[in-house]
Amino acid sequence: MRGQSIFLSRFRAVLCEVSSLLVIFLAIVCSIALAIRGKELDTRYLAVAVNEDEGVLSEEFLKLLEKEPSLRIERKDAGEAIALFRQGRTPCVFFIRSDFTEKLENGSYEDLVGFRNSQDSLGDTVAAEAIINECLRIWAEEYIASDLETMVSLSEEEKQEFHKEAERIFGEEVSVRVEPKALGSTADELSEGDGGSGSAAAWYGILAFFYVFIGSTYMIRNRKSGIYQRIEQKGTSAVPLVLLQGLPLVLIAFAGAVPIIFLSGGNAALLLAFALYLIAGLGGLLLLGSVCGNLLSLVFLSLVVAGGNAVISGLMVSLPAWTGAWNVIRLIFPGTWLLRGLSGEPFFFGGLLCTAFWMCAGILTMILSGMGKRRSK
Amino acid sequence: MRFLSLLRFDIKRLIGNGRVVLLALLVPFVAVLLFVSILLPAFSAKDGISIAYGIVNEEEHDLVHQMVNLFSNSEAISQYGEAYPVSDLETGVEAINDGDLDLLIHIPEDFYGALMEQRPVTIEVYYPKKHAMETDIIVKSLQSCFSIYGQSEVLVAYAGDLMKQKGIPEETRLEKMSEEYWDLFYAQVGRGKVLGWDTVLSPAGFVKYEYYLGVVFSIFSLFAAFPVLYLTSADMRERFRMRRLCSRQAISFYFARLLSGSLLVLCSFAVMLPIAAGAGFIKGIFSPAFLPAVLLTVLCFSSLLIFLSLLAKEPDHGLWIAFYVTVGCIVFGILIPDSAMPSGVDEILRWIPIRPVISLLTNTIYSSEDIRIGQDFLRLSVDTGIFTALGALLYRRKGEGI
Repeated sequence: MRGQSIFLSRFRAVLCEVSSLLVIFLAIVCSIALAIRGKELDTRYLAVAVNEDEGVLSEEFLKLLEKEPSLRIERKDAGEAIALFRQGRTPCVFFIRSDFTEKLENGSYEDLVGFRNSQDSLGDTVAAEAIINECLRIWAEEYIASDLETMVSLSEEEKQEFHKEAERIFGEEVSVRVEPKALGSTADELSEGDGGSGSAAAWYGILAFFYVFIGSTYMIRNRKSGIYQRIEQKGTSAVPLVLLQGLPLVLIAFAGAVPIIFLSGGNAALLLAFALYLIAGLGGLLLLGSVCGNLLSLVFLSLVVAGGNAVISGLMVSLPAWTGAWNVIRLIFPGTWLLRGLSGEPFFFGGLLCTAFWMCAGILTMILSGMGKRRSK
Repeated sequence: MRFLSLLRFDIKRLIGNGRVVLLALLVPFVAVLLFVSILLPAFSAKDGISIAYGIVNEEEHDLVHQMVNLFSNSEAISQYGEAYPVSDLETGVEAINDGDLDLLIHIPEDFYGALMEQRPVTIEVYYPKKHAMETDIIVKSLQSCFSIYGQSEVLVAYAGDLMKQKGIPEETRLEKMSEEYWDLFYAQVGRGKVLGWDTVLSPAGFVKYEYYLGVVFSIFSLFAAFPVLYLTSADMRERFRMRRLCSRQAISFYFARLLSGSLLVLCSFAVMLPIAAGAGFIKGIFSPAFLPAVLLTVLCFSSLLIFLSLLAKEPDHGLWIAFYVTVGCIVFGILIPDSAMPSGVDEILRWIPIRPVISLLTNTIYSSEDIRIGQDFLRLSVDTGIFTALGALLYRRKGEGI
């Protein structure tokens, strides 16, 4: 009965803490918006084209580039393009050389396009790769066609048929796939980062973890006011009280996860993954609340732990396969098991162990740090 | 109190608090260390590594044999190691387990047939985890190579059929087709030449660490300024309440805080830069504008956080405001691309401090495009000017008004 009243009063208090509640509110709003409207967002990179060539092939090249799903091509004259680049409105400008068509018709593919890029965006690498691919595609078609014409005489109809066939071949999916296979470890370990990264639920998971951590301000306040000291003087442990007071944060974060999971097309199993993840977060809350003496240190350490969890587990960005030791270290981060859940892979036992680890670490830190002792200023 | 004594006093208060400084510098330290440890294996590979890789070629077609030879000896791959033919998959895997081979490329039976008929076909690359990085390079190279090359080969075959229909002798036809295959292959292994670059297979396909490093530097130097905000909020509540200040004193206090705060942020750069440089991510190609860029950055972040601290009555509230502003800067300045924003809004977002900071730092460290620097300096100077003016004004008002 007493526990219930502590829980309920803390629940009410959590709902009144506007500062921290705003974290979870924004997380819910943004994640729901991402789940509903995410696919409609225009995330293409802008690349500005300056066409210095008057031939037909440069026009064909631009048309092909305009079909690239990751790019938005704008055609400008040189002055305008440089101005846009200087103002930081585009990560790259490419100049189709005046001899573009001539070189391709002569079978050359060197220096067809001039490329100016800046380092402050990822867009230029995407554009460079697409430009190279499309140039080589046109070059290959022209080269084979001109070679063919030197060998045999083709009617106009046959030439058209050849180019139509080329369009069909290049328009089809690439049939060759190169697949890395790790020896001495499970292959799925390598690809698990791809599944849920970037999704609304993954982003919510990152922010919810931070919300639970930052919610441990009550531990700092209680310690300063000497509540834990008084409890321990009576010969009882403060741990159950701290856990009861932390539970509302987990429940609020979990309640926020429910609509996001279902809007993202998730299922009930994912709810379990989220529950384990957030309970692990409660362990993190105990840990941080025990070692931090004020809000400033709590913000800093919450950022380190929540950010580390987001990056290392792969929730924020998929870690490349070659990250070596991190592929092992990530197993102790709760995000790894949430990500497995989001990717439809088995997560339960690993997640359970991970949650137990974090809870134990939290309780142990709390006991070792002497929560009942009042910190001197 | 003279300004210099005031400044010295303020630096002692801010930097003298060991725990605060430790926290402010620990976060950037951990962040850069994490970043470096994740990317280091791939990065160091660019400078040349030597691996022994086996090739199991189960495809009997001559062309594939020749292609494998050319691929192994291509500039792109030969700089990473040496190729060895392996009779079968089992032997290859055993050689990997014994440590005789670092990785194994497996070309399946009927590869050529599948390529020509555009049926799905998979080349497998087996590797022990310690060689995951090299595998990534090989996988990327092979994938780039086959994306356009595979399709071009199908077109060569189509042209070959046309020649046959037109009665070209078989020998001449095959010779011509073979010549075309090689030319197509050479084009793929030197694909950077399209842009006039002398590069490997996929010049753009590597991890763009320059950008990520700029992002890490920007975000974590901003976080390093948080203690400035905390102390300023506390001052507003405690010191300013104790005594009235004349305008001049308040302004002196403000600038002393601005400079001491800047010094703390500068310390975060002093922590982050050596780690990145030590790991080889920065190789001393700094533009002359680098130092002014860093100084302007630290001034901007320090003035921003002082200004934010003046909006709150309690240090904890100030911290929350700064936290939300920082998150907003990251979301709108980094995560959401311009193209996703309505026209007009994207222009406003370009003035969010974090964006010109990333641009300035990456472009001055790697000195790729000086043309961008002027505009970024302008944006950051305007931001700094606004935050400083508003901060000084509020500092004076709060100092006098209590």
